[in-house]
Amino acid sequence: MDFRLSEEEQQVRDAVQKFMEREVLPLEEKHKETVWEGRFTEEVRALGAQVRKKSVELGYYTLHLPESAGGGGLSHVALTAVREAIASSGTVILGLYVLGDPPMGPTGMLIACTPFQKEKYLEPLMKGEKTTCFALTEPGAGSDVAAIKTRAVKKGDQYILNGQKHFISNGPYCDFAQVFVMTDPAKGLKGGCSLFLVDADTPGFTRRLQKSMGDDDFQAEFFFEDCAVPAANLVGTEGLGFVEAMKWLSAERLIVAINGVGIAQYLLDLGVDYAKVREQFGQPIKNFQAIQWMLADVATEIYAARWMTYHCAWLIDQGQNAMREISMAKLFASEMAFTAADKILQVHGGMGYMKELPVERLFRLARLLRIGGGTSEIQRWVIARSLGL
Amino acid sequence: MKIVVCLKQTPDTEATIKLTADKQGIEEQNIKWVMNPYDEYAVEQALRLKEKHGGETVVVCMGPDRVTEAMRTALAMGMDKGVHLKDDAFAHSDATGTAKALAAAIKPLSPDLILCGRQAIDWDMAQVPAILAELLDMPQVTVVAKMEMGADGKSAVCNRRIEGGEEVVEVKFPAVLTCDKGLNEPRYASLPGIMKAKKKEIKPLGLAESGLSANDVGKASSKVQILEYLPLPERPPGKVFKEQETPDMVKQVVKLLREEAKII
Repeated sequence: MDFRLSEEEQQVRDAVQKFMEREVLPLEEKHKETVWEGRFTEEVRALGAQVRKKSVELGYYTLHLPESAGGGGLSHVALTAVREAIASSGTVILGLYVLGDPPMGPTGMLIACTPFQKEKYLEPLMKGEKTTCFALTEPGAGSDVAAIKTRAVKKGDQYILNGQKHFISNGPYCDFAQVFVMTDPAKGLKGGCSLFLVDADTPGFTRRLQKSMGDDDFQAEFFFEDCAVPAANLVGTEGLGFVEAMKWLSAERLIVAINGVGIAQYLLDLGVDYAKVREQFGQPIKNFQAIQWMLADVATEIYAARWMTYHCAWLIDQGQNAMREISMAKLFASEMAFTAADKILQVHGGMGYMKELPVERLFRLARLLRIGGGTSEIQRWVIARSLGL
Repeated sequence: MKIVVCLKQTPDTEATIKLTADKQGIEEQNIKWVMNPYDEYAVEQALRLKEKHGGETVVVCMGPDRVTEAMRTALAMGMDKGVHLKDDAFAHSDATGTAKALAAAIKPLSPDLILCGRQAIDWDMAQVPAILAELLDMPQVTVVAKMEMGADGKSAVCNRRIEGGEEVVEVKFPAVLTCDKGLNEPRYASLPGIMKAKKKEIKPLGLAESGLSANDVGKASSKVQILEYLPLPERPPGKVFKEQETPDMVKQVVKLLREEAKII
């Protein structure tokens, strides 16, 4: 096992960190009245597009795509290091625009697309000119993905879509959606589920903003009513959309894990600093064992989650199907991040609950990590299945 | 035109510095090393001049193997090639020894311009560029905050930061300039830049190839002898006045500021 980065990978990581410190964080600071709210307002999205443009120019935005597809071709270990640098920087929102990870950017799923799709969808995504979203979840199909009801029926050179999606991140703003629909319900997910690229302005496709915890304004519900999508927008083979996507989805769970690690690390640094300066009973609260233990526990759990995550990345780099380990890392790191956020908020006391500090916002964000990318329960199900249960 | 940038690798500005037990140096383990931040302005300036006027940019650096990381960063930003002064004999050189070694590496390159950072953020001596200019018999302009190339392409008008204002100087090439914050905004190493840097040449230059003798550099030649390093003294605890009438407390504070701190 060797998680060391090559000299070039280290340079890429350091360059992205420098970009965060000198470009992204100062931009957030300059516009803190709007940015620190953590909402995807028009102004914030314009700033994000600015960050994305620079990141595209520097070649950072597509670091996660293979070299053959015009990406950076970084190893998963190196990508994990880059993502950790972004997540632990303390970025509020603009850090999301640095690397073209889901939901907004180009994913590996689209690499095998047709020349037409490449020109119309993948390339503009890679250049940061368009954004997308990942529309899988439905009101009746959350963890139970197989229960997808949205249908597509072929009619000439078109597919007619009917159904509903919800909780779709970047749904309100995407230029086109990656939509999973049933083309052959009898065959279920493996053989009957297809992936379509649906332009936001397609007649019969409407979307509605969904308010969430913290008023992020980042999720939408989608309605498809006799929405005609050209057959040319079908990605890959009909019926194999979900099967193909799963190859990428598993590795993308690792993104959630490393985000948890990065956020927890940033929170820990905040907590340690605060404990040193906050005085009660005539002394800094860092002197109290109750505070020390909370911080020591958080540091220890970050250590564990970090190495689980890097180990998974390393397994993927070795060409292994690390599905079970990835579920373990995602489960542990997301639960850890939430516990860490809770403890660090507690270290800050009432101040931690106030919007003046970023702690309460990160607490809310950490809560999402236990749900997005597959709930903790689904991860446990994957792990249990690997035990023959 | 040919531009040489002198580079130093220094501990990261946020690194926690610990002294070795014998107080003769700092603990180098667990330190993150970076390109001296002022040198980034020099690299950026070299790249901008090259983009506008063409030519070649060479980065020169002295130090152990690890300094190639900083050199690679400069190459990733866009510098063309590197010369690495690498020899145990160079270790523990003072500013004069360092400047002699740099001069030996730079002279055969016959550059039109030598750019340095205004100072290294570790020892803060700001001496090497000045000595280097002397050794190469070139004019020097230090702490440059603005630079305009002359119409002849063989001179520049530089603004130097001085107390309370700026001094505007014209300098003829070849010359040594030291770069200050504000001269430009250093770029980030791009991904293609980092990948290209992998293939760029870093030429090692040992003592023998440099044409210097062991007496010119290293500890033996050092005119400055460092006796020991001392950590910053710990700050004494502050005095706190409370639970008294404010006017009384103010009086006491003013008295202490006048008599003990002697600052008013």
